[in-house]
Amino acid sequence: MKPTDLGNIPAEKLEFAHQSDIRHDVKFETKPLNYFQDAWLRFRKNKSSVIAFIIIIAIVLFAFLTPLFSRYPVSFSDGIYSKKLPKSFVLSKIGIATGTRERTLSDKGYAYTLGIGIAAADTDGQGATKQEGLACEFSPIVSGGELYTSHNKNYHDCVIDDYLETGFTYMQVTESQYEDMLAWQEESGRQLIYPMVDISSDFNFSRTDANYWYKTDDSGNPVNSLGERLDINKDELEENYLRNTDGSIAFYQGKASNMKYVRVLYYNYFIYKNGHEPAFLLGTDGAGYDILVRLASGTRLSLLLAICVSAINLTIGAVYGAVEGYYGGLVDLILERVSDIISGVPFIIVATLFQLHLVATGKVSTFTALLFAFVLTGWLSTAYNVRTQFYRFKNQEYVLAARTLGAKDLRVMFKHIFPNALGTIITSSVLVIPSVIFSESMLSYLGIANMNSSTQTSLGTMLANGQQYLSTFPHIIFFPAVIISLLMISFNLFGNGLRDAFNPTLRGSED
Amino acid sequence: MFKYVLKRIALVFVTFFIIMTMCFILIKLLQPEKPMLGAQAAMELARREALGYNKPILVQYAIYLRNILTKWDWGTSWEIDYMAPVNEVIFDRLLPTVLINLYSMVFSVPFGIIIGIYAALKKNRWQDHLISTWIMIFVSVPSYVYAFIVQYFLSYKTGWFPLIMSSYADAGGTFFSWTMFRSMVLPVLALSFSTIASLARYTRAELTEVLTSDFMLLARTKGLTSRQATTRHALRNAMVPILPMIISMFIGVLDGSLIIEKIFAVPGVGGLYLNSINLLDYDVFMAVGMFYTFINLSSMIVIDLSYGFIDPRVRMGER
Amino acid sequence: MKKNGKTGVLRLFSLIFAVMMLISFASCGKKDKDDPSGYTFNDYIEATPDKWNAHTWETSGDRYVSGFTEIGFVDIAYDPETGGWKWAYEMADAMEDVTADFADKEKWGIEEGQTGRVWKISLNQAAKWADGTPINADTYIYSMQQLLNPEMKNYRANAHYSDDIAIVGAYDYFYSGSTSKVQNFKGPDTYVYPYETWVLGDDGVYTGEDGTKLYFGLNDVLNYLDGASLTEYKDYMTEEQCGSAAYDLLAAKADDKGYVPVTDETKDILFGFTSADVWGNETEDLLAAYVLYDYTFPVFDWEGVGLLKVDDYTLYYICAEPISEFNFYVNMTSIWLVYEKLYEEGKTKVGDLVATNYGTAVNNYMSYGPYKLVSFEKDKQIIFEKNENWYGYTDGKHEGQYQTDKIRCTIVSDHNTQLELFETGKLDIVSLTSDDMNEYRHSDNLQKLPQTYTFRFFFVTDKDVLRTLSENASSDSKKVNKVILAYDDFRHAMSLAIDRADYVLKGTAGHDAAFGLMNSLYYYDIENDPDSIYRKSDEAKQVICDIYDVKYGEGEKYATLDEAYESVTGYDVDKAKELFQKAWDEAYAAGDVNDGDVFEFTCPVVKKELTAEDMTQQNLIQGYIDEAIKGTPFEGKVTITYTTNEDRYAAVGEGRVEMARGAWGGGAFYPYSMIRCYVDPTYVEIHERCGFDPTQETMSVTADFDGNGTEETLKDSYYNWGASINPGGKYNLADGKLKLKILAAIEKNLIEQYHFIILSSENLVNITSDKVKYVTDKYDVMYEFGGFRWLTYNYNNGEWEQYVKDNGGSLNYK
Repeated sequence: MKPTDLGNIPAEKLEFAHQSDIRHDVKFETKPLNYFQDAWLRFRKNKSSVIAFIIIIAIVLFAFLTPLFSRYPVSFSDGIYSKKLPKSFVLSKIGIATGTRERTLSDKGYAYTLGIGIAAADTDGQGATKQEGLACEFSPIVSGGELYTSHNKNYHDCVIDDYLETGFTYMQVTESQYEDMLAWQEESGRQLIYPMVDISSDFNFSRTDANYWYKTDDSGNPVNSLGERLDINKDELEENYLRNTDGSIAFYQGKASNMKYVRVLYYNYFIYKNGHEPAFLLGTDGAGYDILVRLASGTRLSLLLAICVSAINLTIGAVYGAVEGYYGGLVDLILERVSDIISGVPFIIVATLFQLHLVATGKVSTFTALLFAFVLTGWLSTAYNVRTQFYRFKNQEYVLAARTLGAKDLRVMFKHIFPNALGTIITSSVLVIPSVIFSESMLSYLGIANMNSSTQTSLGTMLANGQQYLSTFPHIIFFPAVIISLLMISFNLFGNGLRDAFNPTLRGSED
Repeated sequence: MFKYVLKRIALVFVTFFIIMTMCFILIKLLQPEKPMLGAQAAMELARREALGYNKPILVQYAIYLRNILTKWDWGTSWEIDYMAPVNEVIFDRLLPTVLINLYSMVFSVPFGIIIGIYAALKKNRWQDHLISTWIMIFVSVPSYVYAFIVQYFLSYKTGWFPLIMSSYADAGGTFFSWTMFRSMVLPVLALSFSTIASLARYTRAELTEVLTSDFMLLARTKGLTSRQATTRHALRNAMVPILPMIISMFIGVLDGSLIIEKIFAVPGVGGLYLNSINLLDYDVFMAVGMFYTFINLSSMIVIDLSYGFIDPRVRMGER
Repeated sequence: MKKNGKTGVLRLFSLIFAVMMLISFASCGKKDKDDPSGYTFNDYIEATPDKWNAHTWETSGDRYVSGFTEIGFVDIAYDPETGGWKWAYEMADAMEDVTADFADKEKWGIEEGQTGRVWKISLNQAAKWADGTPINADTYIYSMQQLLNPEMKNYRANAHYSDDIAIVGAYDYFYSGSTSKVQNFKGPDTYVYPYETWVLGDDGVYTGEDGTKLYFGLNDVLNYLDGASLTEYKDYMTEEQCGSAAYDLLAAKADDKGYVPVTDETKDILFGFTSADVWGNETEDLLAAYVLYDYTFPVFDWEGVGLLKVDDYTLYYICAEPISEFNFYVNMTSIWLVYEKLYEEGKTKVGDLVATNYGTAVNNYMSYGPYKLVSFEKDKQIIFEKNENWYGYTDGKHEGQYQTDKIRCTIVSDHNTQLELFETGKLDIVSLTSDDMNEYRHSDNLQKLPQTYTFRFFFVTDKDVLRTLSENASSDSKKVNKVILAYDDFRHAMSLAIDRADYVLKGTAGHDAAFGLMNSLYYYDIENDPDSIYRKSDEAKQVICDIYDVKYGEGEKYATLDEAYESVTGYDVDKAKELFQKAWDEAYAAGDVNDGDVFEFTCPVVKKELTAEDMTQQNLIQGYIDEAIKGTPFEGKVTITYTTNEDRYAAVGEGRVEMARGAWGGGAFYPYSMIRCYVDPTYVEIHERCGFDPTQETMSVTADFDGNGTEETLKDSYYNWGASINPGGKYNLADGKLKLKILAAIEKNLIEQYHFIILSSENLVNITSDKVKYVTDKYDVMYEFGGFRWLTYNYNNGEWEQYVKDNGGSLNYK
């Protein structure tokens, strides 16, 4: 609209205004925004870092709340139920965490696994058929098992329940424990003590494996009483139970100082001991700990260590870098050399020496020794970052202006230059957190630090311990790896978000 | 400028000497184990006596320095390669590590930069988020997990590549034959993931920061198309921190990744450092330690100088 | 960088990339494929052996190469006819004991009527090195001269100058001309220079009668201090306890090696040190026990060494002590041969030590066994091929043996990769861990290999040292008490608290529970009776029954000794509670324990890495102890924490740590010499020596010593009883039953002291591929499963590759 075609503006639109009451700058209606509110506004806009922030909060909540809800304490461990797959009765109804896996079994393996079901069905030792064995609730074979041959060897593909596959174990119990188990058996209706196997007979393959209740030859293949090989696909297994002097089936073998050696169905024994059926939501690790609770405790410890380290690194690094970057010249040269020397110190040697001289002699706990090892060389990267930022901003015009206005060095450093550097410092200190967890896992993998004990563990140790089971039981390393990746992703995105939020140059500019 | 470089080099030697003294004392604090059988214990003590291990540490250090300065003899290895001079121990194992890392650098640096640039240009769009999460995954998952996955799927299940690096003899007596290269693909891949990811993330971060700076606004107002502005100005500025990072990666080539070399049975220098600590092979530890320290210190100078070289405004040492 | 950054850099990199690709394809040399009709055995090891020179190898890993490239005079081999084992003559055609009619006996110190001293070895005349050079008597003489070379101090020299097959004169030859400080203390109150005979020289320094200068040794290992040195004692005793001011005065006078000339002044200073009550206020004459003197071994030339060349292919091997034929043969299964030309070329002088790099690479080593070393790449791969010059392939005595014509050994330390290589047919053998057992338990290719190692906890039991350790560990907030470990009842209770069956099942990789020091692999008389297993003998079973007081016979719960032995579990929670209470009352009365005390024990179990399995074992042991101390004053106060320690055996021996877990093993055919690991401080450093001195403590044995039908009871020190049944001992050549009774008595008395708690013995598990087949699948301690000699093949290389392809690239052994 060109200014000339203003034409006939109606008179009433115009009103007299006193010269003094024309105010050019109208009072802002919006609330005053201080530095952090503005940063929060910008932070909120960046969706990915908000999601990351939520993930971090979720993980921290998981780490602190799980022990309250979980059924197992951190120190709970069951040597027999170690390396078991994730299982939960609720989820397995919809097919997740069923605690089962496919296995290809040879004849001997099939006889062994099927044998567990048969023995479980035959509670009084009078014998049970294969059908009864398959039908029994304690049979490890959930489905499948049809015979097929490849390269003239017999195989059975079947789905096996990981928990029932443990079958029977031998156990030494005192007189009172034995009575207590019998009483529980009556009261709960669950058979706990099963017929004892004649261990010292030459039809017995193993003195420690209680699942060999049937007659076997020297390499574990089922045989009949004459020693001829049986074919599991056609014949029934022949029991090899211990007999009392009067010929009846013995349910225990008397041992010295009136102890009894019994054969127990471990699934029911677990219920007898813990009052509920065995189910671990995330499975158990190599030592039989419940992964869910250990993961929570591990995350707590690792986060604590990481946050302490990054906090200390941040403070030392920032101050050191600032002084170095700002003053430059001789000061920079000397401080640079000092940091060269410290960075020259081999981190692995320092960690080993701390472990040897401090932890092994019991003066200091592994946690403090690790904290000290990380901090000794950790702050260098922050110092380096800050120094580069200072070099970048030191000669900017506004800093020169501040100095000419007579601002003292300290004020210039921490009022003018530092906020600009804040962005990268925040990012790098936030990134330190996952990288500390990472290198802690490296140290435990190399065997230098070990935070593992019955009451506490760390993410790094769980990763290191899980590495050896990668090909056999991948679920052990899968969950710690997921948690550490989530932590890394969320901290990185969160760090990026923070950097953009705190970056003064971005203040107010639309993205 | 030249006077400054001379000063820096002199300082490097001072630092090098201080670190060397510190490492020597630190490693000598760890005492080797005495064998149990009586007769052999006396034998081992006699041998250590002959090698002068019982002398006070400072005396041993003096002897060690004298050997280096006079005969450039960094000592012999007694545990890792019985009686082999230390430089032979290192250089025998250097080639496989350098090759694996070089291939991985050549493969991952271009990819890393391109992905970083693409992500920066498409900031906050779905491509950027996809790439960022992919970067985070590869940066955060431990190297032995995806090294195992690469080995499990690309070799164990499918058999496309051999499980471990082939030996010199099997590869027909050369490190540059097709069988050798094919057997190196997996370790190179495993090594490259983390390099690509970290380089991409770094490039993306630097480029986004540069893109929002005011001289870009000026470039656009000058009438340059967005492509020209980006290539001519933005990238040049973003390169300021990236180039030194690439240089330090090149230097990093030499330390080899311990875990990748363990999983793919690469006979490299990766495990040498830790091995020399476990077996307390003093001379090898010192030689390997000093080798890395010298490389790090010299790369520090190169990087500091490259700052000045790329961004004229940032002059070193000037107040 | 004139061009704009990005494209320039990109172009540069793509150029390098292209060049790199070009080079690698251009030079693809000859592919070293295995000969399809041949038989290659693909083996693996975890770490590169660094030296396999027969004179200096140290770890079993070092033996890997010489296992294929060297062979002994004789070898233990599977005998297809009898199914048992037999001696296979290899580098020697015959070895017989010619002591009786040996010519000049006095020259070699052989008494009349002695046997097993001089052995005539007729060498195999067809034996040659891999390059064709013949091997004759001179080669053996040269090799032994180098092994015993005084300047080289070879690690394996002691086998031929101080062990069972020590050669007459070898000790003097090895030390010939060298002067070294030798200890004045030769055994309980026997000295070379007793205190009263010291003469004060005119320079103020004391000498023996013959004028030899006497010194006090500060850093030297002293037998009188059970293998510790004065410096070590001073380091671990607190300031006022050992009057370290006196020690520092001495140190000021010592030379750089820690030797202090004995003068009136230094004598009084040391006496002030040793007469202090905390040291046991020793009398002045005991000062002689700390003295060392320069002893210059007379120059001893080779003629005095008992390895004589009779003719080109016959040797006389004269032992210093009589040795049974079986023991001699077993020791001759590995011999000391080295290839002169390469051995000499490899020699260099380092400090005042001569060392050779013989046997560290392909070009500085020569094989003479069935296979020769062809390629050796550090940390990567070792290749052996058939050694055409080996006599065995043409002498007609090895039909059906050594079918393998090539061995490729890959060096890979990651267990997952090993399993994958095995399942894709690239490896023919892999050893399994306890975690793999769950998967491979039913495989037909599984082999279980029992080991001789028995694991046990061993303790410091010396009250003063324990008191120091307790003070070091205590702080004002926490009073840590370790002195309780000095009470036998407490350690006995700990032993009874451990449920060994449960421990081996849940915490170990297929271990067996153990109650005695030697498991069922030890034979006390394998020479004459192949079933003479020590653990299964009545005497050994009786030992275990006595320890756990399980009776048998009429009116008892068990009828026979076997039944009683079977019933032993070593687990008795009620008795453990009783003993804990008894120990508390006794200690409380003696003021060694009070109510506020906490009983925290650190127990180093490994050198470097605490694995998850160690942690499981620690928690199991802690659980058993917690259970057993319920209802006793110790309840809730006892904790055991596993840690690592560079040298845990010396740490406990020298009183730096209160307990540790470790194992002795080996010597499956020599239970008599194995027991010396627990009773003979000169043979080996006793782990439990801090509080248990086998040369002082005594035990009694009831047996028919003089053969007159009546049993007598004799009392003597553990050390003397141990020495009595070993070479040079009173009962060494006595009848088997008596030696067995003494051995059993030593084991019983040792265990009942509870200076150590026996836990379990180890088993290794291997699995082999379908390609290879051992000659027998029944384990035998002599030849395991027939070994490499009798290994046969179901497929050759070509067929095997096809078999793997047919199975889709990976085989199922589960």
